[in-house]
Amino acid sequence: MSKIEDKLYTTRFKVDKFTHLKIADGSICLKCEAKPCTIFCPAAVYVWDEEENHIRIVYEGCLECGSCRIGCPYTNITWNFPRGGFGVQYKYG
Amino acid sequence: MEETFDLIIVGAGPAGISAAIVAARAGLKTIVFERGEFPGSKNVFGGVVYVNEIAKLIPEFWKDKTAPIERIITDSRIVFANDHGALQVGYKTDRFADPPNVVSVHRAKWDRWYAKKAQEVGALIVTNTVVEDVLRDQTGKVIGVRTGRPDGDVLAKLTIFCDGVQSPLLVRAGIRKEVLPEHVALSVKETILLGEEEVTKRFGTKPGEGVTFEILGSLADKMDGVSIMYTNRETVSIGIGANLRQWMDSKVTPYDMIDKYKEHPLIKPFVEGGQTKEYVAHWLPEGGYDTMPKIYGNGYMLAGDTSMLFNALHREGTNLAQATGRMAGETAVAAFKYNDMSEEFLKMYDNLTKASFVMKDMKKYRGFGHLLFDNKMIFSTLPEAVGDMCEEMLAVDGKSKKEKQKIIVRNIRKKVGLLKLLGLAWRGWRAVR
Amino acid sequence: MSDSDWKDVLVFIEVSDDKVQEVGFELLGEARKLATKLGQNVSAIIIGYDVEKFAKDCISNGADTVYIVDDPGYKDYLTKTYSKAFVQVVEKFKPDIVLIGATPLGRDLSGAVATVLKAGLTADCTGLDIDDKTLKLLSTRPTFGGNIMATIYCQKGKPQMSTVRPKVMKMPDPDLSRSGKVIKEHVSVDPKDLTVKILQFISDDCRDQIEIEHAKVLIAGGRGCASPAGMEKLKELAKTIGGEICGSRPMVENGLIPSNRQVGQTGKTVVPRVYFAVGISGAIQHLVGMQNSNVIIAINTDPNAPIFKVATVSIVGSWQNAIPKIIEEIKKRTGR
Repeated sequence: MSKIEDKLYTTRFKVDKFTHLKIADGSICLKCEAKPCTIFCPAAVYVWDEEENHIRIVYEGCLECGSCRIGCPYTNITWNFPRGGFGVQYKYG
Repeated sequence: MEETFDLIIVGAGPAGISAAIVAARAGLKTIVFERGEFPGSKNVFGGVVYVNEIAKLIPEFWKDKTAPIERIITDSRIVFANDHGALQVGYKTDRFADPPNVVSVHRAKWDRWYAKKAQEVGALIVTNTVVEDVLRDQTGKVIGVRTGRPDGDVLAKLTIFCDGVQSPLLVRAGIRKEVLPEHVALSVKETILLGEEEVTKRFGTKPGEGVTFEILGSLADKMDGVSIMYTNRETVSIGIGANLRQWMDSKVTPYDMIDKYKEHPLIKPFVEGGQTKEYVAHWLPEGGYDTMPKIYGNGYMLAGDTSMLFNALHREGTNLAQATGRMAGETAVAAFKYNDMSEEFLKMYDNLTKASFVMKDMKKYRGFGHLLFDNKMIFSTLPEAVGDMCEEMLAVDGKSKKEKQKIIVRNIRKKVGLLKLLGLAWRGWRAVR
Repeated sequence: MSDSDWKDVLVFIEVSDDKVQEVGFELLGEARKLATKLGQNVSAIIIGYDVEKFAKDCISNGADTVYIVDDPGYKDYLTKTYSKAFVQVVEKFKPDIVLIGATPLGRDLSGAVATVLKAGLTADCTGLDIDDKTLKLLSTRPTFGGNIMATIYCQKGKPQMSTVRPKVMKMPDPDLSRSGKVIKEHVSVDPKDLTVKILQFISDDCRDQIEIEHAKVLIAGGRGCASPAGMEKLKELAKTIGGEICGSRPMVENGLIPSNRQVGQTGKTVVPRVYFAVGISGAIQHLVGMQNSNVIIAINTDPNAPIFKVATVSIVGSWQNAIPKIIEEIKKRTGR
């Protein structure tokens, strides 16, 4: 197990067609140097796209821990739970 | 929905279901909302559940063949570790086997079984439903909730919120303050399949019995963190986490950290060759007593993780959730008996928790979170120093024992500082007094 | 019974509204490629009422054998009845590989069938191949927003099942001179299984449920216009010209479109008559989903954007300027 994708593959998700996570203001990410969301998110949801100069959000693998909501130094993430019945559904927990 | 219930419970976890069982048994028309596909589908813990509290609602539940108990824990170990070694203290006894004191479970299976118990006594559990807002009347009293379903407003005379450690709902409703990163620990966990016989063999237990390891030290990349290893029937749960404030400055990702953890000389022999069946992440409310919101108000109560209830030193989160859920349920029953859902009456819930081990323990350990957070040496230099000390003591290398003693003291002085160590011991004692 | 008893690639042919769903033929074409590598044959299965007439088309599109399960009880799709019939055919004729189109019906049926057969099922694949050494089916599909492509194979168990999205595989060229066998398989419908009676079909006029694959004109937004203001303009253009809104991944991540309107590697493959690519750079993940559109009109401020390589009409400029002008021009010419 060396990649986060391998780990996430063991977890069950009911992926919604709507994202439950949004970057509120993309321009703020440009001035954020550390971009801690790309490190502490346990599901690697946030990825910095060098070409588009924007954070990419892979919401499909979100484990709904909420760390990004309060861990973003600029509180720049609009955070909601996924719609009822969607998102991660644990088999073991 | 035109129907009015007696009691709405938000969240079908240990707190919510405990409240539901008590309330429904007493005849209250109870509805429980769960945002997951089934109770437990959104829940994560170490973990173990304590028999005493569960048996208050379901006596001798461990004799029920359908109860999804993994292993009966008869061996508990505390470990202080650095990157290359581990000092362990443990207690093993047959006395915790029958009746059991604590058992390991998988939440997705356990919560589901537990929720059925509430359904059996008449509670209505509605899954796949997120509660989005709190409904109040003109006086500000909580009179129900708005769910994510069409026509999804549901009214009730009383509401118990058991919706977990991070409740954006209660933050929005002004019932709880938003969590600060230093008040929670972000943990990741893997459930690793070995097979029942292999688990029994590797951990040296009797069939059906198990071990728990609580590990403190420098393993979480020297962050204020704790790691665990618990045995289940066929699987082993290994987890590692750290204070979220420190994660924000971390250069290591949680998933790389758990991979490194699996390579630790203490952990590796236990999990090698196993297959990871699930990877999960969750918060632990570590802020302690001083971060707790007010757990009752006009028309509502809070139970479980949403009240930041957690005893980190004794690994009791689920236990406190069940206890407070039960007490909230008991308060609800009394409120209906006297037809008084006012804030003054609901103070009874607060009194119940304060008179019980719940608040007594929370108060006693209120300084524990700070102790760990403020004393970085516990996670950096002390594990190294302790490791050096043990290795010096145990190595038979021709040095005289007196010489070794001198080396040990010198090392501690250099790496940690005698005064600092004494200071830590003093603060430690103060924190748990 | 060994694995080698299982032979041939079986394709499920979905019939709705008395028509064969094209994905069935697309999969027959793909099945032929796989079967050739395996040295095996291609078969098809049609379940329904009055469906034997479709056997000929299946044969023309590559099937060597067509299994027909025809009974009034199969007039309407029900998971229980269809999966029972399917399982019976699979257990009797033992196909090595089973392919089903990932339509709503296909998704429902494949899950039910795989569960009963305890067969491995890889859903929503974008690629199929045969492993040279093991001769196992290799199914490729995107994961987690398209960052990683996963190739999956069934370690054990037969048959190996995969569902494939419509329009991912190419339609084969039918050969009317082909001949093949038609085998009528009798699977009676247990009246107890008819738990649901379809009373009426109501056509779905809800705009959100539109499948963008069927639209003739698509207006696609990308990073460059992934804002509420951008969405407004795209909607206006769509209304004026009579098209549907879709987009690349950033539009999904900004919560502007649901993922079933996403075009690209992790989204859908579309072949509309006209495709407006607004503020889309043209990264390969998006191009693979739309490059076969008849007319591609690209609007982007970056003259080096890769989208211009596939565009029929290239507009280097901002959508804020271009779109209002386009709308105006359309209104003038059509008098709308």
